Amino acid sequence: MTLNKTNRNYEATGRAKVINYQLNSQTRKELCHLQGVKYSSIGNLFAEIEPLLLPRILALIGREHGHSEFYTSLIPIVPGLMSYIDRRALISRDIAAIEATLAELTKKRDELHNRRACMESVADTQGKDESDEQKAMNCGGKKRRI
Amino acid sequence: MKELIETPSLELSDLAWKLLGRYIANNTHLKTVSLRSCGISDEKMALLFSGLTSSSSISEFDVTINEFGIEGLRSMIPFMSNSPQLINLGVGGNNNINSESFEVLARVLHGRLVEKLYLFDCNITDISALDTYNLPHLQLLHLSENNIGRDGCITISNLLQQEGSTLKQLYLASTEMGDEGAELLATSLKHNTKLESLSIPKNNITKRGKNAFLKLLVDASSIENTYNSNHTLMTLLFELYITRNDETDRHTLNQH
Repeated sequence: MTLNKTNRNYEATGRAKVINYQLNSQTRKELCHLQGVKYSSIGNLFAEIEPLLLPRILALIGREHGHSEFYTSLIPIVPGLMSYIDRRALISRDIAAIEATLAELTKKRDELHNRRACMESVADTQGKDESDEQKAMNCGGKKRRI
Repeated sequence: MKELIETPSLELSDLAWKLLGRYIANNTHLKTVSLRSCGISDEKMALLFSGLTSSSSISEFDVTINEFGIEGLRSMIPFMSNSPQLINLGVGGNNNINSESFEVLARVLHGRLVEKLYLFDCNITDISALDTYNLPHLQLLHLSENNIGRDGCITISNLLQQEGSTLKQLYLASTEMGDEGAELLATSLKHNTKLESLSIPKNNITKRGKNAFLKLLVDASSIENTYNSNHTLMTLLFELYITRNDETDRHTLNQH
């Protein structure tokens, strides 16, 4: 009733009621008892919720009702949360990331190889030129002597 | 003059009642008339309304807590039919007003602009006329202290479930509704987005009836049902005491 008075917006009131009365295990237990509704654990309750939203909802529980209620809610849904994880997709993502890193490193390695090869080739060329020059100088000397 | 409030101690002669009626009818600025607790009988009503058959300005007319019955009410018919501004009408507190009188009233007010109708503490046991006649602008209905019982709750439930329901305040204290009536009302409010205040004390409502309203306001059966619970009802009274709304409404009826 207080929530009806406080929140004049329909959506806001509905949201506030869900947070106050459904996301608190003790309050929900009492309400279910009063209304003759079978109490279901928070794990069963979360079956209605889109799995991707669960982390956000757990955070909301922690924020609104404290750590104790957060852990109470977390414990029964851990197996569920784990089962929601697509391990194959996770491995594929990791492989893709590693392959990308490998490709980058290979590219870098090839560049370095190229640079080194260039440097060596330049050095070789210089060495050859120097020896040719030496030869030429030697020949020239002879000519000049002639 | 915009307001005429008669005092209980004032005794008027037959001629004075007639003249008063004529005066009210001829005044084009008068908005509120309160003749509460004036000891008005059927005869005095006939005298008053012999000259008061229409008004172009009156919006509130209060003749609660008097002594007239169906004949007095019948005297009012021309006035009620020919007063286009009339939106608040108080005829409660007259023990001689019965179910037949209620039917007369509903028929006269059918399709009219009346927004607030005070019929507390009469002798009405049947309100099924509301199934037949439509008060399309009715926002407040005060039927406390009338034994309308479970059948009356069914009629009101039907009103509350209508798509164009305009009722915002409902006073049903001491109406013999019991748990069954309370459950009917609670069920009818599931999709109602108009009713803001409901007063139902002195009706022998136990935990069963109260839980029906708890479920209405916070349905714990699922998250979706909680989200879609009734978010409009703001005041729900199971115990008897005069609410601020009651005071305000009575005050409004006497003021201006």
